Amino acid sequence: MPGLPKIVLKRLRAKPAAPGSSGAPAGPAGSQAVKHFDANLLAAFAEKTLTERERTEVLNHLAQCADCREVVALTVPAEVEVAQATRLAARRGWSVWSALRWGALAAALGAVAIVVVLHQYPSRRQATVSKDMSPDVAASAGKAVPQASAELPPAQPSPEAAAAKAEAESRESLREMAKLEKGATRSGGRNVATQPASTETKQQVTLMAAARPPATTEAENVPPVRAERETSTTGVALSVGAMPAAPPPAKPVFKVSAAPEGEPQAETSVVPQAGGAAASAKTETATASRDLNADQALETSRKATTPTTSRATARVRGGPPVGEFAPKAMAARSDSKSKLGPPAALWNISASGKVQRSEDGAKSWEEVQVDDAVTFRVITASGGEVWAGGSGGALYHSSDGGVNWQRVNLESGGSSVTQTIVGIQVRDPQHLTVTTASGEQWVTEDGGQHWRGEP
Amino acid sequence: MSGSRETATHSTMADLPCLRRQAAQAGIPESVFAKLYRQAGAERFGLTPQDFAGILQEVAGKHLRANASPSEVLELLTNLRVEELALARCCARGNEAAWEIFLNRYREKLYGAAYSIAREDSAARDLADSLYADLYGVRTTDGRRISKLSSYTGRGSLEGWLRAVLAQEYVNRYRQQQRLVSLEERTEAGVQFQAADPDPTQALDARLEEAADQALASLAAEDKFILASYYLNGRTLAEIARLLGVHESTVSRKLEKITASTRKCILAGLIDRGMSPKEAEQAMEVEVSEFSLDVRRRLMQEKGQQTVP
Repeated sequence: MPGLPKIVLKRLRAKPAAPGSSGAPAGPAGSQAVKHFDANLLAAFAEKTLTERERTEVLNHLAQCADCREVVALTVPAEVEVAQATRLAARRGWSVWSALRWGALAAALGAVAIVVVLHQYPSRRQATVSKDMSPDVAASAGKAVPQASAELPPAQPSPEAAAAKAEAESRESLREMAKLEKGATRSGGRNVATQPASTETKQQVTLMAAARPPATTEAENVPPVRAERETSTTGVALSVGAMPAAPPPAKPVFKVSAAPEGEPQAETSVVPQAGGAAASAKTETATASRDLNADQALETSRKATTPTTSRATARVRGGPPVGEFAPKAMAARSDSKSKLGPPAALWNISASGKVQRSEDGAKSWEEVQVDDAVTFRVITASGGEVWAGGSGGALYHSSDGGVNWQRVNLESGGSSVTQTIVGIQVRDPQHLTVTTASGEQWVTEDGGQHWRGEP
Repeated sequence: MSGSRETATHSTMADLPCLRRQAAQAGIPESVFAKLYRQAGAERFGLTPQDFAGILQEVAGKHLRANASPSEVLELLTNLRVEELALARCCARGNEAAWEIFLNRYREKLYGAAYSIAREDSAARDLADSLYADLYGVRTTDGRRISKLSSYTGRGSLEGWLRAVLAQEYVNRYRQQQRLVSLEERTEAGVQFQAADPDPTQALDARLEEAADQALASLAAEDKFILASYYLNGRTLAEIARLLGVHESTVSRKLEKITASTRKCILAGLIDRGMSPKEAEQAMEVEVSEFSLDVRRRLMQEKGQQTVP
């Protein structure tokens, strides 16, 4: 806090006196005895039940009396802090869940539209579905993410430049998009929510997956509504997962965040990119790190946004022409695909909180034995490095693709995490951030050997 | 039961001439008193309407000015925690039924509050035990038990009052321990002692003191509280926000605003007193630690000694 003159601090400093006494003994020679307020008024002040006049009088005294300030500070119970923190978390969560609901609705509408169009126009899946998708997505995006829109300064940029680049890479992008769409579909179906809505979303995604490649490709475009929101609100989250300068992961990275109760997790796969290299990096980022829960999404959205992503998402909202949108997405996908390498195992958290893995592109899932006593809520993977978190502060890590697991002790300064872990954000194998149900964040910079709580 | 209630109501009107007169004078309806009496549930503890009226009268006299308006009296009394007030006062009188209820409700909270304040088990237990004894009234005067609960006025919750009393006792004990520390220990601990009055030639520019006083006087009470809590008590923004019942960001913005306005006010005051802007800036940044200032006197002179009626 810069700039408070030192003379003011001197003026503010007052000699402490015994609190709670009326007619306290005089202080230094010549000074008057200080009369303090009794416990009734201090308690009423702490509970905000004083009249305005009384409150002003108490504040005036508190400004002079260090002891009474201490008493008042001790009088406010810790439960107030908890209640306030809970209210703040609830408000934050509520707004995020509201955004998630809109996003899920948008994703569901888009999926239904894709299925319908695919069935009606099988020979023109890609272009046609893209055409149908964009307005739906745009409409849904417009409805679903008003907050995200507000957060993105470049709300309505033109997608023409991005579309032109996408068209140039359309053929290879189509092939890559088809392959990656399987992953996107799986990720969409890999809903860790234990609520019926998540099942519904998974079913919708399953429908998309069952459709021909262009359908799934377009299904990939569905998430842009969510991706858009996620991107706009989780710019840093999406980008930190895969640093552009870092060597690309050998395998696709899929991260699933813990679904809020009642909220489907329509995971997105690709974010339309406006620029080539940046686009591929961003796409890689998007596919690499979609792991945030609602709280993390909001926090990271405040930290950073990327103009490229913003333009891309704005383009989605604005209902870009099919030709511009689909090829662009496909181009990004292909670029990212070329960097990702061969597909890897997919991970999921079942409705009962068990860790699941699929080796066949989400066609079938097998339960992975980690810890029967833990109800898992979140899992994130990067190649063979898999992190899973759940109830009781349980955090497990596997470095061999889930064959062997090791429990990681989340503790710092003698205190351990006991709350459910609902978010895991991996920047790189050494830097992780874990979020608990109460909003606490724990950070490690050495791969989990040491942790520190973040305020 | 309804008959007894009616009887109580009739007794309320008949046996409380003082309060009724005061209530009439202050403009408090009799129905309000009857409602408060019922809410207090004082009958179960044997607290008569007259006793209850006396308690309300005492509370009003303690918290209101002598010339308080009827609306102020009505607002004060209707916002009291009358049920807890009746319980506390009946405990102070030694009513066993009231004590049983008090123990059931507040014993655990008392020890919990003591622990949250003292942060150490033995100190917390000692703190709670000593207060418990004061609440029960182990001290007697002229054969009458003196209980601290008789000073509870119902302005806040009884639990909050218990916390405040515990906090006061805790801070008192801490200050007493400080005074008991030997001079040698304080010297070894590097405690700074107030310097003797400085040579007048080295005294701080009186204009700076005046401008600072003027700036402080222009601050609202809450602003001064924020400054004092932040800079003198080392409270975090979150803690200050908790005390004021606002968001942390609000406190942060306020602190920045207060700092900027204080600087501006002092600068203006120094310029008004003949300094150039550059001199004023330099004067504000002068290191005042080597000067002896009667800080307490300065701050207190600004608002004077106050007590709440």
